[in-house]
Amino acid sequence: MRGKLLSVICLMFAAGCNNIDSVEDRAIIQISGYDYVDEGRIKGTVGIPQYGEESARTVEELNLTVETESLKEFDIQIQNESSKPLSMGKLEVNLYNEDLASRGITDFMDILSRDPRIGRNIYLGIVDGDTQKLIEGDYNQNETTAKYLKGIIENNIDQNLPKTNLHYFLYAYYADGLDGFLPYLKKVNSHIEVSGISIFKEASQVTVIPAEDTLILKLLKEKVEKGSQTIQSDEGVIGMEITDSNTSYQVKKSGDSPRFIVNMTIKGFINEMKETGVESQRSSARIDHLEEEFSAYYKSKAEEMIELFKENETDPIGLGSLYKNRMRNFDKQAWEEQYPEVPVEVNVDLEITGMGISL
Amino acid sequence: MNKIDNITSVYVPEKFLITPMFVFFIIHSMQVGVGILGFEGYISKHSGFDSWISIVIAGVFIHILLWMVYQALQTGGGDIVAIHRQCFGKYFGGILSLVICVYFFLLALTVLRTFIEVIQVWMFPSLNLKIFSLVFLLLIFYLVIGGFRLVTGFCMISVIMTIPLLLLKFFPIMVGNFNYLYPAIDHSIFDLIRSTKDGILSFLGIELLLIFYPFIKNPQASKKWAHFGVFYTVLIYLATALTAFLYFSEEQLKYVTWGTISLWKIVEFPFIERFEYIGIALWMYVIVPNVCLALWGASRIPRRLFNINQKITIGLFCLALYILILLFDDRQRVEQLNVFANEVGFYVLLYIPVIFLLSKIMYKVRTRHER
Repeated sequence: MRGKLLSVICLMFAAGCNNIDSVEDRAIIQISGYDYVDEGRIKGTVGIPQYGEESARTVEELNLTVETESLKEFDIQIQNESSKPLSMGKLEVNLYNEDLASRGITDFMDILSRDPRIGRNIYLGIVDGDTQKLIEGDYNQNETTAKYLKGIIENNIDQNLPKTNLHYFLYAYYADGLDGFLPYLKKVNSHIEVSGISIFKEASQVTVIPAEDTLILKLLKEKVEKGSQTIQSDEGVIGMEITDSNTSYQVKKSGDSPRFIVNMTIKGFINEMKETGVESQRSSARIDHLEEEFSAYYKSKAEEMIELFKENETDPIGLGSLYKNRMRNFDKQAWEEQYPEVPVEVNVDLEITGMGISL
Repeated sequence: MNKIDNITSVYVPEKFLITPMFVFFIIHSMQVGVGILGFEGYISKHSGFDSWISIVIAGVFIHILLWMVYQALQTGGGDIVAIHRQCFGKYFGGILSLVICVYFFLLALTVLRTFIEVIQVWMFPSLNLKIFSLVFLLLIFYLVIGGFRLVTGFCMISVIMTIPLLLLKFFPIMVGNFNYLYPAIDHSIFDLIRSTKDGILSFLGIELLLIFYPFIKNPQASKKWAHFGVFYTVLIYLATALTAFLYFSEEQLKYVTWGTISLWKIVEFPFIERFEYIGIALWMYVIVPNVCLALWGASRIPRRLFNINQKITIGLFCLALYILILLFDDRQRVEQLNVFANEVGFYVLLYIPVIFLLSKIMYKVRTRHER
């Protein structure tokens, strides 16, 4: 009996070993963004939601902006501006402007991967323009910028944008023979759009893929279950909805140099056809023709994209990683020299399963 | 078999004995401790993603060592203290037994201090070490003083409590990348052995059998349960390591201190944002029996040697633990402590074949004399 009492007392004391802050007393940062000012100076902006009275049901956002020389100083200065202790645990979106990204975001990656309070499913993004303006913008959505932006990115991941979050980026950032990519965002009047994908080499941005080509990268990286692409054919504009895809890679080694074969299988249906005088008929010949056209499109686009990556010596698809993991005696330096000339063959096997419900 | 030499065999009253099946829980919960929270980084240091082979190698070694422990105990008459006394005489044997005692104490210290370190790093950076470790140790003192059967019961609870945590591997596997985990074995056997040595701290624990063997009701029947326990540990380690290899890239693993806890970060439930807090809290159930067993083992040896009341030694050891925990007050020292314990543990494992051979030789010599 005495023992039980002792253990109960122990538990009570154990619960009191740390200070507890209630949610109301903390400023919860949901979004943060950094801008490049000049050599050695950055400008950081954070967005903190301010929840109003229950009856009003409005959400306002408090934005704090600080210009500092280093990231450490940023933490201290931003605390100076805030009336409540800041907490990073609910950070959802982290943005960098393009100038900063092309100069490298190594320091930021170090902090994000080191801080135990930061989750792994937060979104990173590169902003075309001023990050501060994007965060401070008013978007008429009755929700905070962070939630709005998170919604946009998540919705795009369901469609044409390859999967992205802090974890995926860190995975690629640390790996040999694999480079990361982040969504490229832009503020257009009173909304935000994903206007492409910014491609990284290690921690700096090297090139940007336009929005219409993001699906190609998604096809190369992962299984696509919902993606749409329109092409301009001789019959007019044709839209295709992808329902299923699979991409497999083969590495062949002849002598010292590797050779890659990319096999893509795509299934989908036609959902848009702007007629240009050709008779609209569900004939198998026509479907064959469309299949050919789409395969040729995906093949040329994928090859173009891989060429673009080779030119910039970046490898978001992870050919180097594949080579390293499937063949013995990987030599990183030799591979980096080989990479711009490495032959990659893309085969597309495309099947159109339907033409919609109308003729 | 072990009734050959009744002078040295240990007598334990039946009310203190445990059923053979519980050996499974004891072996398993002694093996799984803080090691599993971060062993992916250690083992992959030398052989990258191929280090899952090291886990299998280590598992096979542990099975062989476990067999040796049983053989030695059967012929040697009870526990390590008895074996030492027979082989090396009263004084030198006693000193060796004390070394084993210190080793178990070291294990308890390492596990407890590392876990508190995890709490400090992941949950409460401003934790008051003095009060927290005092309360923690009071709890452990209370459990250990309850006797071996109580600790055994807690082991069973701990094993069952932590099974659901395995289901959470689902989340990182969904995120993981299968493309980069091809079994193209790129590392030499030497590298693999080095990885095995680095990860062995996670497999330490079977040595405790050297002490609690007399407490098993039917030692012969407990053999298979002990092997099941080791096998289960190996399976869990394999699953954990492979999940980590899917989730992290090979170079990224080198930057991750606590691989398994970092994996929990991706777990997402509508009602909880950060699962690692729950994971670490649940891990208390793994750490407490682990420390209790080690501490019980450490306090049992002085009792066998000098016939001191075990309650006194438990109290003394708890006090010593408390002081030492306060001394190891930064990350570097904890790291050094881990490296040191790993090293010592490795040599204790190497010592097992020696005991095995010695007890076999002694047995031969004795039976010849009797003839």
